[in-house]
Amino acid sequence: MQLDVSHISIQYQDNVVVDDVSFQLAPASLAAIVGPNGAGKSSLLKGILGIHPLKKGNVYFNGQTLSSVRPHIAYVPQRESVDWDFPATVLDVVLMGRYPHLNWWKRYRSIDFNIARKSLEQVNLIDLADRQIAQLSGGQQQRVFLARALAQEASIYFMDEPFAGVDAATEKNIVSVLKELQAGGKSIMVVHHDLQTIRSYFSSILLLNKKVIAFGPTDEVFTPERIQQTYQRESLLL
Amino acid sequence: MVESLWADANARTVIVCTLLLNSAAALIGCFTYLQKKSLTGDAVSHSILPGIAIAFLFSGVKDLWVILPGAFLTGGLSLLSIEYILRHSKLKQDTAIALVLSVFFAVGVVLLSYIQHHGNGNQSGLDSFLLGKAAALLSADIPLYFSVAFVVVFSVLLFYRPFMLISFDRSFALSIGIAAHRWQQVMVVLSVLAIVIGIQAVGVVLMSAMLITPAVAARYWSHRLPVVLLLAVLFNMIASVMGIIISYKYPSMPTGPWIVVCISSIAVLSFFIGNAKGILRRSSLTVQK
Repeated sequence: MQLDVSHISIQYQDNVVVDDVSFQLAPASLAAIVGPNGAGKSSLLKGILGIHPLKKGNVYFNGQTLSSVRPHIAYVPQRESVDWDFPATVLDVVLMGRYPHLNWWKRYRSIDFNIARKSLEQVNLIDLADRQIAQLSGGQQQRVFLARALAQEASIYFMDEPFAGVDAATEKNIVSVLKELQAGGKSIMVVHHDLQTIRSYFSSILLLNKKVIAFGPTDEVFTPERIQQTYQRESLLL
Repeated sequence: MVESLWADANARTVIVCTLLLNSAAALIGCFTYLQKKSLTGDAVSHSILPGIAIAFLFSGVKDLWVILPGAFLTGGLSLLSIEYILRHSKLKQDTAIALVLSVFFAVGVVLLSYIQHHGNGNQSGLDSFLLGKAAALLSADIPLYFSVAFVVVFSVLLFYRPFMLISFDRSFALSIGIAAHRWQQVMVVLSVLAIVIGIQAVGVVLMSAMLITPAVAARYWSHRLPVVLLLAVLFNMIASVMGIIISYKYPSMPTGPWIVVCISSIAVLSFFIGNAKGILRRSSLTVQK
């Protein structure tokens, strides 16, 4: 799915957190959003997904507005944004990903259970399907969230720091799932912090510090000067 | 004791009615608890008192048809006040709740004492709203109690999925197009309704316990939300029957505190022996890495 973001700005009260951001994400892209703390990375995702209202600007998916393509969009929030003590099993959470394909009064069908189980297999969690989510490690929780997104069978995926605080096995699993998705023609945007792994994980990159510093293929854009420019504010403080 | 109570047609109605009221409270209360809004429920129930008093002052009767809108009005107003304070000051939520709760409750108590000193004969029993008196449920009001409780129970069952989704992961719910704000308002209205209809039996001071405590107790027994909902209803029913029996046996005893003592005992017991999270069982659980 092609994503067109044109001149969007996002504001929390009087504080502009995303300022006039534009970029075009081609189908089958695997892109990282990189920038210092407070650069508006999470806010940008929330703005694109309509979770936070846009102050101005437009977002189009294959030329259509958000509301007409919503079932084809998946979002993985930050793991810390929910209370994992919630009374639910791993399978319960993954089934939430099937919700957009149902009406709110309808029961899950057997196809929904099959897709949910298949998604759990992809993240190596099928053995823990009936486990209470509070009893999972951080990496397992992150993979549950990824499985929920997979169960949505979307065309474009937005993930907020899926690699934060996960074990090495989980990181490897997530990367391979992302590459599979990309190979299957899906587009993925990932908020990412670890500059070491960007070259090996992502084919394109959006350098963000409230404004777009640069956007393009990783090889061209991910240069020391550009990184310096992106993290400027922080390095000045140091 | 139970048989003789059940033989009394009036007592029977009161029991069935209280069971339904407290089931409604338990169901919507589970979501209040899961959204960590327990204190907000307490603020609403206390803030209902001035509404009852004002409604009585204007009408001179304590029929539910009159009391209910008054209670709903000030209960809702307390929520709006909390929201207003949070939006326009730097105060934290617990402070805003404490402020609103005490102001509304103080006004309610002031109005109540005014009514008691300038009574017109009808006022007897208005103070039973403070600590609850199940036996004072008017039989004329019972159809209305029934319908409101039924609406709450039915809505929670019907809207289970959106309620569950926005309680667990609001951002995700928004991302798949669930109007979280609107569903949240539905939940707030339902919880205010459940509180309002519960106050005659339980009282404004302790009503929030009927929302939160059964949810807390049930959580120690299960990791599945449907089971938690079911158990919360069951626990509230047991506590209600026990409270009613005691208050029928000793008519000077208010019902509310007894129901709350019973539901709290269940919660304490669950805390120790609950097979999902009880501290005596917890040692058997292991986190698999």
